[in-house]
Amino acid sequence: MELDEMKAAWQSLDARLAEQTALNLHLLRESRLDRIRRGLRPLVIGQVLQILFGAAIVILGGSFWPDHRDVPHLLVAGVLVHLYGVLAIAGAGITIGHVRRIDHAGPVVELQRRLAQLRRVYVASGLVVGLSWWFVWMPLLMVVFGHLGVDLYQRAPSVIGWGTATGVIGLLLTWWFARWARSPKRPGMARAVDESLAGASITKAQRFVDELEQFQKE
Amino acid sequence: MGSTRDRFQALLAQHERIVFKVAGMYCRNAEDRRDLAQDIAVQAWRSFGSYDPARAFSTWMYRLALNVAISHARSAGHRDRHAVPLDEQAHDVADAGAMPHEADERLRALHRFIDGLGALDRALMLLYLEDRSHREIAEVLGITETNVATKINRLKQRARADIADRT
Repeated sequence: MELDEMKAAWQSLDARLAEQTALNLHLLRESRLDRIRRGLRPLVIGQVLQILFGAAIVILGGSFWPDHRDVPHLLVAGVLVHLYGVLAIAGAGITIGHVRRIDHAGPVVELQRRLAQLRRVYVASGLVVGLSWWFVWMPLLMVVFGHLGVDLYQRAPSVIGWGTATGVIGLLLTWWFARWARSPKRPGMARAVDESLAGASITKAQRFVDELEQFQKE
Repeated sequence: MGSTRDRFQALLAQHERIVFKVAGMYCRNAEDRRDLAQDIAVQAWRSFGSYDPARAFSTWMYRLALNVAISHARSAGHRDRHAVPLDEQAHDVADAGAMPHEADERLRALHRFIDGLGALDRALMLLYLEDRSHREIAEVLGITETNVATKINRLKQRARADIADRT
């Protein structure tokens, strides 16, 4: 059978597909379309919340370190908190920028590339902002206590030592969990991890971008 | 003059065949097909503000429907739901007994071939089967007309080889 004969077979599906799918579009016509259109976008809302969170962190860190330039560990803690806030805002801002460029009625190759890029940026930003919490909580705690007039590092230097050790162990545990959860023996969990913030999502998105490049070039 | 909503509904009704065909190309299971058709219609309404009436609605609709279908197909959960045996898929679509044996066989062969294609090649295949011009295919997919011609020739060769392998 040639491709042209397949065309005839395909045309014969018209009535059946219409019959099987019509009911649903009929329901859609009756549904409240205006509400669907106004529907909130959870991804954008999440990113806006991240920007607000980042702004609060920037204010916390930015208002701290200029007054503590003479105490190196407080200066470093303040700058780290400030930088973390900037990073959180930048990650969310870049993600929203990508979302705004998405036009579902754009040419297929271009739109799919943009979606893959969005996924890559979203996952990478989530990884950086999320995983750095294993360490960021220490300078953050130092800054919060510093604002209250307490030098946490001087009072309890062991907190930083234990905190760093915990952070390293936490990171290793996260890595181990990601590997464990993505085992083929646990398909449900593997999918959930893959869909959330596993590095595998970035690889998958990149692979698809490469596939799109190839499709466009050939 | 009607509201935007009325205009959208009228255009969707005129072009709903595109929705069915795209859903049929990416989903073999009737329930999944209905879900995908619903997703396409909802996304079409959300994006309707970007539609330029000076341009063909069919091109706009093909782009949108294919984009939604490809994203749908790429989601892991969706893929798992599609992991139904080939015989079941063929039965669902071909609805055995409702058509002559020869046509039934052709449909099975067509679906076997489509099942072996990637998401992007499926989009190209659909537009080819729908008799769209190379120009429109290029416009929908965002590739050059020369590229479209090359890819269709490759699909033809692949289809020939596929059928030869199975006979």
